[in-house]
Order: sequence, then C-alpha cells, then structure tokens
Amino acid sequence: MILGLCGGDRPAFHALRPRLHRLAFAWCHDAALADDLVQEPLTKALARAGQLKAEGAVASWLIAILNNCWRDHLRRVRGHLCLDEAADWPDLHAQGPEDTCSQGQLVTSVREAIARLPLGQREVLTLVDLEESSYAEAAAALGIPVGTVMSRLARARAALREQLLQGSAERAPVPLRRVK
Amino acid sequence: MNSSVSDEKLCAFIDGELDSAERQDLLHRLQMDNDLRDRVCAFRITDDMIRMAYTEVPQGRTRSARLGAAAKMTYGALAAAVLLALGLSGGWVLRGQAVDDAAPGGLLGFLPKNVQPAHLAEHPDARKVLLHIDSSDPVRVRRAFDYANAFLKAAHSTGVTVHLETVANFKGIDVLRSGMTPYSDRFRALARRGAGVELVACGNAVARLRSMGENPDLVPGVRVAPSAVAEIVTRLEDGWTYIKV
Repeated sequence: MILGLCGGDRPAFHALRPRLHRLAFAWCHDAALADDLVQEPLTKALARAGQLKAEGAVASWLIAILNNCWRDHLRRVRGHLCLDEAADWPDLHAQGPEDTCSQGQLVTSVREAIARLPLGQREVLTLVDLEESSYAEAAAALGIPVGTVMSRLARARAALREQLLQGSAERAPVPLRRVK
Repeated sequence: MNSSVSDEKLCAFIDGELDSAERQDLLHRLQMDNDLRDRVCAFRITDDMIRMAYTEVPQGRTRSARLGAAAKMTYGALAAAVLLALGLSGGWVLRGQAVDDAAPGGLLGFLPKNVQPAHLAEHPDARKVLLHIDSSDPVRVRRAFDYANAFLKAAHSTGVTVHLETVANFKGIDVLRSGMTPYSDRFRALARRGAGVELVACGNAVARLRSMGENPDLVPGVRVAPSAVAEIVTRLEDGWTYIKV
C-alpha cells in the first residue's frame, strides 16, 4: 500500500513527509534536492487532505506530483532532453550517494547501484520495494502501462543482482574462497 | 539457470502479483527446482538490501557523521557475508585468521570442530556472538539453543562479560514465536537472564507472516530489525563473531 492519507488526518499527513523524502532521495541521491522536491506534493496534500479519502488515489497523485517535480528539475539541468527519452537513459547527473562517509559500505554500494540504473527502472523499483506499491499503483503514479512496470522492474532487479551478488564473485578480493 | 521462467514472472511472484493458479504452479516448480529457488532467493536478497539502503536517509542540510570504526571492509567481503548469512547454495565462506578465542578463556570451545565461526573485522571479538537461524528444523532449533546456552555458560564460568544475539529469519522465526517450537520459551528465558542477551526477528519475515494472515506472536522482548541481512551486516561490521546454526 502506498502512502495512506485519510481525510483531515494530521498524523497521517506528518507521516507522509519522511516517506516522500525517502522516495525522492532514492531517485536523486541528494538530500537537499529531495527536500525541495517533496515541498510541492506536501503542500498539495495538505490543501486537499480534507477532500480526498480514497487512499490509493491520494497515494498515486502525490507520487505523480513528486515525479513531475523531479522531471521538471531534470529538464532544467539537462535542457534539451525530452522526458520520454529521459526515462530510459541512465541518470547522468546522479552524483552518487550523499555523504558516503556516514554510511556503512553495503548501504553505499547499494545506493550506487541504484543510482546507476536508468531513471525509469529506478522509479519503478523504489516504488515497489520501498513504498510497497502494487504494480497497478506504480503504473498509475508514473503514468505508464503495467506491462512497462513489470519489464522495468525485472530489468532493474536483474541488474542489481548482477552488481550486488554475482558481481562480487569476479571482483572478490583476497579474503574469499569458494567452497563446495 | 532455469530459463523457462522469466525474471518478470519471478518478480511478480515475489511481489504477490500472480493470480492464484500461476502462483500455485510456480510454488510447485520451486519445490523441485533448486536453481529456480536460488533465483527467487537472490531477488529477495537484493530487495532486502534495497530496503536496508534506505532505512535511514540523510535529511536535507543536516548531515549525520557516524562513521563506524570497523567500517573499513571491502565490498566483496560484505557481499560474501550476506550470501553466507542467507545460505545460498554453493556459497562463500569467510577466511582469515581464526577468531582470537584464547584470551577470554575459550568461549567458543563448545563449537564442534566442523563449525567455523565467521567474522569480517580485523580484530574479531569472541565475546560478541551472533547466532543466526533461518530454519525451523528441530535439529537446528535445538542446536541454536545448545550453542546459546553453552556460550553463556562458558562466559559465566570464566567471568567474561559477553554479548549474545540470536537473529531469526525465514522459517527460523518460529524460534521466537510463542509456543511454535519447544525452545521458544527457553530462548525467552535466556534473554531474561542478562542484559547482554538479545533476540532479534527479521522484519521481512514478520511482514511475510502478517501478509499471509498469520499472527507472528513473538515472545516478549524480541526486537524486530528492518531485515536479518541488515542486522548481520551491521554486527559483522562491528567486529562480531557470526555462527550459523
């Protein structure tokens, strides 16, 4: 279930911020930018909190707004790229994980692997794994067909599996040996 | 590799997006096909890693600066730890010097010769032990309790202060559920004995139980970690000694 928000429910509203922020951070890996990106969806959620009660619908439109803000940002920094292209291009502006020194190494490696995914795959993967969106919810939030959600998700997970699990076999440093 | 089942279908299986007929069919195939099981397992591990990577995210302009002293591991060693922890077939083991067990008076002397404790830190600490159980097999459940008991006894008799953490995931979570194994209550009793003893359940295993409509009913005092992988990696980074039962 993605972001739930009951009508006029202040605690639910306050719970939205960390979740939207986490999602935005997983997309851009820049904490300050993530802060900026969540402002607009949060403002709109607050304005409409009294009107909308269907949780799924609220979740999808909030994420859709976040996604629009993110795309606007990318359009500004990339200028000429059209958005349809952007979804399948690796994010050239990914700056890698913020403040790597403060994180464990595995956390850093996973974030780097996710930052390397094409944007469209990264969005689907984080919605499904972090927000536990259903495929239909992810499709609605991102404005893409369910079939695209499925193919991007499978490619994203396969890429991460290679980088995080199998990849370690070839890159294994000295302290490892294979056992049967 | 089983090429007849697509990654997309396996993903849909993991995410609960298959209809019941497809799900049944795949469950049936999983019982007979080790490669397929490994593929599902590998996807689940990557999902666990993703969730772990974003459990805490930096907030805006305020940055935390917590750098673990033992965080200087190679990435390959960490990945190996994760694989080891999750028991993938044909897995990796950790090599390196034996845990320095001599100083605190043979705390790990109870381990059978064929059981090799694992560690990642440069200076592993035999006084901090993490027991990991991922199965509800009665033999393993009993072994987990025997190890825990023997370790605490050794600590008591030598007067050494120790930390013992039992981490349970997958089916092993039954050890920490009330009345699910003959040892559930005994683990609980162990945990109540001292400040250094902790029981930790994998958050994903708990969530999976709930999603199947089951009440996890964990024994009192169990801490639920975001995931067993996260817990194990964190402990290994901090120099703990890891024993898989």
